[in-house]
Amino acid sequence: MAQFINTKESIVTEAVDGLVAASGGKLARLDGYPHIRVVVRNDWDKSRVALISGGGSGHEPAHAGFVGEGMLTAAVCGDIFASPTVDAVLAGILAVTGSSGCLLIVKNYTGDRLNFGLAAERARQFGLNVEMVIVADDVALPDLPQARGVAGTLFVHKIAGALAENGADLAHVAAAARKVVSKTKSIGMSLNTCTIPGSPKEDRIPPGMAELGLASTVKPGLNRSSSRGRAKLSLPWSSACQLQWKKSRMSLWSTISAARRSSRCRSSSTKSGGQRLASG
Amino acid sequence: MTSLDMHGFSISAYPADDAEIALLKQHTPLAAWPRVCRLGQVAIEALPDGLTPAVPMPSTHKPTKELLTSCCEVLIAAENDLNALDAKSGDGDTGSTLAGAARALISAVDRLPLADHAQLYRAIGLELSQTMGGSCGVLLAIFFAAAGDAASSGLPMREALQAGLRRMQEIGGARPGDRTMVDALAPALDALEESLPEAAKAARAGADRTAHMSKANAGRASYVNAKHLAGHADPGAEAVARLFEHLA
Repeated sequence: MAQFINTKESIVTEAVDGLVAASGGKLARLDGYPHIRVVVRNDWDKSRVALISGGGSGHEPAHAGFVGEGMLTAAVCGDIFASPTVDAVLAGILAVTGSSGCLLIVKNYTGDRLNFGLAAERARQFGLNVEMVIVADDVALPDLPQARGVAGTLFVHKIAGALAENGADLAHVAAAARKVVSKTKSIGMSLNTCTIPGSPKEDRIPPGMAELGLASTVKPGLNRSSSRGRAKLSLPWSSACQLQWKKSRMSLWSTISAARRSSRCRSSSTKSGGQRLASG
Repeated sequence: MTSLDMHGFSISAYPADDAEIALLKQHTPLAAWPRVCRLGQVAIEALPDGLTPAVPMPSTHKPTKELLTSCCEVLIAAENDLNALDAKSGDGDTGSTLAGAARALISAVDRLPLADHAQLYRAIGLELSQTMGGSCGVLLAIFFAAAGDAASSGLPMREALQAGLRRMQEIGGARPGDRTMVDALAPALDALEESLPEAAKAARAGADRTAHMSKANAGRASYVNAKHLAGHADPGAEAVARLFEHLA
């Protein structure tokens, strides 16, 4: 046994039920197990703009942990490191969206973009007003054509969430979210890979080394794109840092310097690990 | 935002304006939101007084000085023997540890309050705790500190030393039969009521008994297999025996 779990098939539903059970009645989950795992606010009257996010599980407390007053209205939970299905996202949208519309906060992974995107289309066919914002804040690997969405998503959840809680309309909330997305930068490193429940741990990173750019686990068949996504490992920790950091930090640093110039800089550090390049 | 059991971290930066900071700070009951805090200077507070104990005033008393010095010399002379005994059941350094402490005590003797025995116990305890490594040093420091307290409250020497022994046992956990210095020291202090030669005999008997104790219940020897211990006295008990024999 490598993890304290019951079965890997039930791990996400059990985690969701645990969260909801311990929420003091503030949360509920949609009746769509096993494939539709959506956590919703239990105090929601659909009168304000709904905020919906989600993605692969394994990044707790993101995103179900952020469902509640002042932040998300619903979170759609996929399998570990896998995007939730179109149906699951649609269920979430329909469950919480009223005449004020909703904003989808989507991390920039292929699967998430596709599934949330199609669900948004279907929801619009019901006459709902759906906006979508894509978070692509990772600057660690500037050579990647598509930057991944990582912990900077939390800034979007909080700023958009506070605005929506205060009664702002969808256009306003979406614009504020896009502004945050355009200027948030994140960078991360990790000392080891993570262990997918039920799979052996991949020992890709040698001791004394670190991987820059929130390591993704490699799925067979995605080797080509994943190896482009990996930082050079031939250097020990500090040198690897310097090599890639020089490229990446220019964009992170310019964010910080610009902010300092206007003396409005606030940065937050979050303990974060890697994210999986989710497939559709 | 975590990633299962991955040991990693990330930093996110966003140049928030005042309105956005207010939104970030706006109340949410969600425990997962880490809230906003402004990093400040590290507030540093001075250490409280009382950490370094008061050093007692030195005083002279020739007989005490000679007694103390000769006891230390006994321990210095026993260094190799005690190391050899300790090698059987430990890391072979009891002799050097005790001899080193003895040498330090000799060089510090003129700074000790030789004329006031209650203060002297305390001062010896303090000296040992600073010069003697390992648990032995701490145990003896406890012994002498407690003996000093007992002597200050009026107990005569034997009772004061017994009080020291009791406190040492209380904190260290060793009892007679556990193959430690207590096995020589306890009978010696009991027999001291008769006379010093009786105490020396009792200490010697106690030390010799430890050679037949196959299970040490405290100290490093407690980690050692029984067959390595049989036939060899505990070096701490042996040191006590030699000291009492010298004093007698």
